[in-house]
Amino acid sequence: MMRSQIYSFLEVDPGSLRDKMKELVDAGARFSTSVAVDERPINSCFSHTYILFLKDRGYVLLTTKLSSEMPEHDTLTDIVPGVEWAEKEAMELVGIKIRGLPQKRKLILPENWPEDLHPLRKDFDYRYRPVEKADLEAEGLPIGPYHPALHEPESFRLYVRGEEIIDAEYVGFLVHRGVEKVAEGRLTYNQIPFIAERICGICGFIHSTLYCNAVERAAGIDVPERAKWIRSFMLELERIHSHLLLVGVVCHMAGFDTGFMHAWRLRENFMRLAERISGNRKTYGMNLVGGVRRDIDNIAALDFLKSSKKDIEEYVSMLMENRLLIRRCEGIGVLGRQDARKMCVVGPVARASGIDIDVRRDSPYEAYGELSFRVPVYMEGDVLSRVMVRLEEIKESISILEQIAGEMPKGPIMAETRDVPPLIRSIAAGEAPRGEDIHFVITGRDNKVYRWRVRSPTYNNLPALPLMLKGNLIADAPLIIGSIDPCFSCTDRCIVLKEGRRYRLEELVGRGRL
Amino acid sequence: MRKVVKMAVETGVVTRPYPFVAPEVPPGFRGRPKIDFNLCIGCGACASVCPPNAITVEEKDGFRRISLFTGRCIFCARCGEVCPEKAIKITEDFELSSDEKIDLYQILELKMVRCEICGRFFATERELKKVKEEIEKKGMEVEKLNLCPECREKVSAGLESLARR
Repeated sequence: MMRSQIYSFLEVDPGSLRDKMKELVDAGARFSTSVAVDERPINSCFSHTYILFLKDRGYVLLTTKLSSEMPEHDTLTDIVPGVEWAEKEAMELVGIKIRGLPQKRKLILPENWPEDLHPLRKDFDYRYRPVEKADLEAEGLPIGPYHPALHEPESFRLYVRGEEIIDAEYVGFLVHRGVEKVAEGRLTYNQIPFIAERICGICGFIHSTLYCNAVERAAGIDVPERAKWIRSFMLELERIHSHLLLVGVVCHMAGFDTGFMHAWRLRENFMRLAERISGNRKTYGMNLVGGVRRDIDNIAALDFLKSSKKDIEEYVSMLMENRLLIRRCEGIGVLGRQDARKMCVVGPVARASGIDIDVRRDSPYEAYGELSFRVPVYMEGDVLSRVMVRLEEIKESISILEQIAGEMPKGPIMAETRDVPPLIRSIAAGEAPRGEDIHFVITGRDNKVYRWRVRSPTYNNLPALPLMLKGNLIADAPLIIGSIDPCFSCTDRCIVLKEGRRYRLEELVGRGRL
Repeated sequence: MRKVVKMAVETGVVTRPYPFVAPEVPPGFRGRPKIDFNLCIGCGACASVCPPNAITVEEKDGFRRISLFTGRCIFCARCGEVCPEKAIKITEDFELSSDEKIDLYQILELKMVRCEICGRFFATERELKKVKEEIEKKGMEVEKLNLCPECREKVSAGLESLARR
């Protein structure tokens, strides 16, 4: 097992990209994500980097340089079907032409977006907004974008025969906020952690931590041990409240609102602990490049953990006693092991389908190399397994928190500040509550990043949803969708849009709506 | 079913009748930042670290205007952390809604000083007072305090005639 997170670079020309990919995949590599970069201002070319994970080599960044006039290469979707979204994103946002990529619908940009305009190119100003035109036409059976059972704006089209779902399609990126563009265009290194934390409304801390990790690695900053342990502590706290939220939502969708209320009651205790430590219940604001801003009172944390452990056990036994809930979740929304591997799913979704992966154990970061914990894996791949994986992980996380609070080293919590050298590439990976989360950074000049790419776990889990929905009943669709714990704002990295019109903050304030 | 009932009875009512009871705010909670108008010297350190641009600095007609707009604030408390004068306090206030937008602003205008040579406004009176105190504390002599950085550089290099032009 590796004791720290390692990554290596591998450059190939566009012609041999496919062969190299095949070779790596045959060697057991798992595709994480890809990053396309407009490098014309620094290297007079475009680049496309595929990030893969190999058990014995860590993360491998397979890069190919593409000409600045005609950036194009062949698709890898037939080798790894899971690369489709990442390739579509490279095509839409950076304008890399990917030959052979099935192109039915746009992924991120709206259908009426001008063809030759790619927002992540460096000559595109972040304030520019093209004029909006007509909307998509409806087809199939729509669920969303505003639907009482789904809590965020996303849309699914279900193709049905009677009550049975025979196919499904996801239409998303309705709340694409252009977070990465704002970060590259306006924010400085130490301002980005705060926007990174707001990528997700639940698991924000993992995003700010990984962003900081990536910059710290690029700059060669040694983060003090205690800061690492504090980050791990907050990450586990975040995992517990995120999992409790999802378990509650699944209960709610299955019609068991008592389970929902109790899950959220217990979750509230963890939110309060986070508030006591960091000054806020969700946006902890703890991370800066080089360390953390606040220290933890170990003793108070230990006391709290003792009582909450018992509460969680009682809650789980109450759930397991409920046969209605179990029967409602059992055997529906099945994602088989083969399909799960093909679609490159991550996190609890992968672990519920028999794939034993966890970044905390496989490629440790922060203090995880020194902590011991179990990674629960289930083989069934149904909604119940996805819930069980999370319930077990909550218990593991409480044990991790106890280890941290008991063994945390003393010392400083922030490294000495130093300049970040320009044009260094680095990545950081971590296990968010929903699975592997990846941040890729190219450092820039003037205290700013040149490129920052975020790939949240739901980005890899969503494409597998149609496979889970097929063959199930319409009534189970919300529960199945909910069971992957989808986080659409993470995935969309999202502009406040309402009725096709953007409100200015001043207008909202004037109306007393803020 | 037995456990569900047991848990319900043992737990009782959890919901608190807020706003009819006081909110629970732990010590160290990050609420509205408050500028102490008597302490602020207008250096703008807070504005340069503020992630959402809630704090802005403008210069007009010999005054530097520091404005903090809570409507944009994300309550990260970075302003309070970097303020060299401890002029920004992070309060525990979070009930900030109002019918009037102006209630969300804290605006402070500080008088600026002209450079003795080129005549442009370059720093606030309070900034210079602070610099003077710091220099005196170190037992050094205070000189060329009323010159802007560019003119001071020229004068130090013996190019006073160039600066005068």
